[in-house]
Amino acid sequence: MDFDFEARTIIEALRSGIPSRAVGKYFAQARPRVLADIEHDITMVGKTGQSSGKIISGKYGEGKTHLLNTIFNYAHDNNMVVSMISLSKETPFNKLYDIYRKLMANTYLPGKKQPGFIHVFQEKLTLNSNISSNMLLYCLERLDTDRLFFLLKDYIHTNDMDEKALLQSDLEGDFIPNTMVKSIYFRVFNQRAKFKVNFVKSRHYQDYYYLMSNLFKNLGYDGWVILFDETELLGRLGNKTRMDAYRNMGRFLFPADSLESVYTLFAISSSYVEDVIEGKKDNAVIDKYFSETPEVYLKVIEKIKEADQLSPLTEDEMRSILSKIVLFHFKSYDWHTEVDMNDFYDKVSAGGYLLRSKIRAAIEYLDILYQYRMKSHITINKIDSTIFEKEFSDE
Amino acid sequence: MDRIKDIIMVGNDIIPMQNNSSDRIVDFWNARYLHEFIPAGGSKIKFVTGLEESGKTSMLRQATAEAKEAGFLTVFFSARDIWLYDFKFVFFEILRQARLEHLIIRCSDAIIRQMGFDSANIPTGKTFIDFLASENRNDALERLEIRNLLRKRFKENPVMDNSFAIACSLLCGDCLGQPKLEPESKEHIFAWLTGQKGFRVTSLRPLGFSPVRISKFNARRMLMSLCELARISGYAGLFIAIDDVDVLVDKANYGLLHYTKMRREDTYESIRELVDDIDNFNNIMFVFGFDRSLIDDEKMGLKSYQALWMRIQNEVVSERFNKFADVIDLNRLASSMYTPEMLIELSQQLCSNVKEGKIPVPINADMAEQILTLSRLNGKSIPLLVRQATLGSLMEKQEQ
Repeated sequence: MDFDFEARTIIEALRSGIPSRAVGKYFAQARPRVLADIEHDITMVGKTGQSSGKIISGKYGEGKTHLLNTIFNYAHDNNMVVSMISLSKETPFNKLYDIYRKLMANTYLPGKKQPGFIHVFQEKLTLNSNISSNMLLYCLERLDTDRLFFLLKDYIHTNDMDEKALLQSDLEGDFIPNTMVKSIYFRVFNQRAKFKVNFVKSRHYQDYYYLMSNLFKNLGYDGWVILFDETELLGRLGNKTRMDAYRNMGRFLFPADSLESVYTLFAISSSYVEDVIEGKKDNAVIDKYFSETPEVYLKVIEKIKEADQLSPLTEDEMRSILSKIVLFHFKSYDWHTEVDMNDFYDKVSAGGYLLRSKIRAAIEYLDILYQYRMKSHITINKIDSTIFEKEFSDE
Repeated sequence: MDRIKDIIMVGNDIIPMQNNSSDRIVDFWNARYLHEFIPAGGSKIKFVTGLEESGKTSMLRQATAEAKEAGFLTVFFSARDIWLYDFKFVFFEILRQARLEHLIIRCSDAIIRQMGFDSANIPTGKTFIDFLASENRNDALERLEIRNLLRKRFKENPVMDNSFAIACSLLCGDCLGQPKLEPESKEHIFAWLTGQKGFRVTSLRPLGFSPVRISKFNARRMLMSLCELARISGYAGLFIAIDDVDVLVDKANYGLLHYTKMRREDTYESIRELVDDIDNFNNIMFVFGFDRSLIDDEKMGLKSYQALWMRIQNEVVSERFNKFADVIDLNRLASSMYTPEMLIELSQQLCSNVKEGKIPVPINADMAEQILTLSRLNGKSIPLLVRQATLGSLMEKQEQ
């Protein structure tokens, strides 16, 4: 049987309702404006080196994750490093030093299907290489602390594999004690390393983000795209920790100059404003706990409220998607039949309000037609999507 | 090789049955997935459920046998034997059944072929390098070529984890004799890959790589790499069947693998991560088998972990059975596919296979109709009712 593998991958992913990069590539085009804006921003980040961030919001099943996957592909195609994580209980956004470790573990270099970048360090950060000297200079001039200067210097000069591995794991987010950085420095250079500022990870972790943003540029990539999915899970955090998370979002949305060529995108549920910002009275929390610096938090909350919405697709957009699905289904299983597109549209639109349900109904319709060569009545049951609301109200 | 079509249990005997409804799904998977999508680089997770004796295990075994025949490296295990809450246990079991050494040998044979030789000509106990030396061809160029092929196959492979790739490259190099590893180093690599307790990963640093311990955080990545190793060893891919996942809600299970609430949730989380990540896998098919209780039990079952249930549940239902469905409910399948004639045939097969115990009587058309109605009314598995009717217990129950 002749079949088109890419089309089959898309149909399989759509049938399962799972986020897929292959799907993202084709179907986010249904939202040309949002996509064009983001692509423009990413291109500007690559060209100017100026970092920026954005929030997109949408209902469950409206295609937020698919959009992130599209951006993932776009960034890779444009020679950018991509890190993508979903926020969760285990990935709390109030602790950016923990987030750093997760991000590093989910960092993909262009053209790579597996995450990981340390092997590139091993090849490029060698004694007397230009990259090494640039990085050391950067650490001295641009970072808040000089720990990373000593750490990188240790890394470049040590011949001890154990030490190298320890330093590598530190760069990946498993921070080693300051004393260890100093003792390696003493062993390698026979001099004492004196930190100008005592490095505390909970206070100075940003240096690691700055370093990585600069390092990726130095390694020849055009920038670093960071994608955060399921941002609405911030709603699970307590009042104060949620505010910490807002402050941290601000670091990406309104980045400092030291963060170079980084584009950050947060995907958040559209119910967040009602469920959390209003439901949990975020403004009152700010007044109560952070009355001296409310603007830091208010700016982020405002940005969430103004986030670009992935609105439900128009009839034209939906019809365009359905035509593509029909075409992909035919290519997937090397078959063809006449499909009355008006009848098809009516059947798919009859039940369910989520894009996910409509797409699954479309695939089911074609599946049955393919297997039995006849139409079948399709019912779309209501999907239980009350998960987030339930969890928010539990707190 | 005789093809096992299906089985049902009669006492302790396993009776092969033909023309079972799940055959049709396995045949369908065979055509659409095992011979087309997965070998071409696709990945898929399927779930098989149903009531007691609806043929779940037999379907999983049958699909595994089909996958083996289609050139897959197959793995089958019961969730009653292996913890599922931490994916590293799943990975280690898959790796054990995949026989890593065997895969490395297949890989080195492929490299030998690429260099224009046949591994069958290499005397037992000799490496490829020994063989080249005996042919006066053990020169720097040939050795460089081996290293290049190893690098391309492993280290530059974009689908493999870097540490996993280096480990395989070293093992494969050792198998070829270029470069030869110290026995202790080889043991260390295996100890790391198989997660041996008490093993220090730092002991691998002298070999030039610094892996982190295989944990629940990186085990899926290791499995992706193993899948790629299977592919470059000449397999069509990896087929993994995990049966008895309903052990998670089995209150009566006081065995070694008793799931607490925390471990149950960790298991659901781990399956969710696998579902979300499946698009990043190539050449792999997972099939999970479980009793309907895993869906129906609202307190402990899949529905108790919304994030997973949201992904598995399919809100779309049609009158006809969709053989592409990710969740195959064997009871629904049976009621949509079995005809009275098929039930009579099943009963006759059963009669010809029962050798001792109760004297079986094949069912007639009336009884077949009754069974279909009973199954619809009581939600009981059709093969179970056929067995009961054929062996008399259904009649006895009805008379009572």
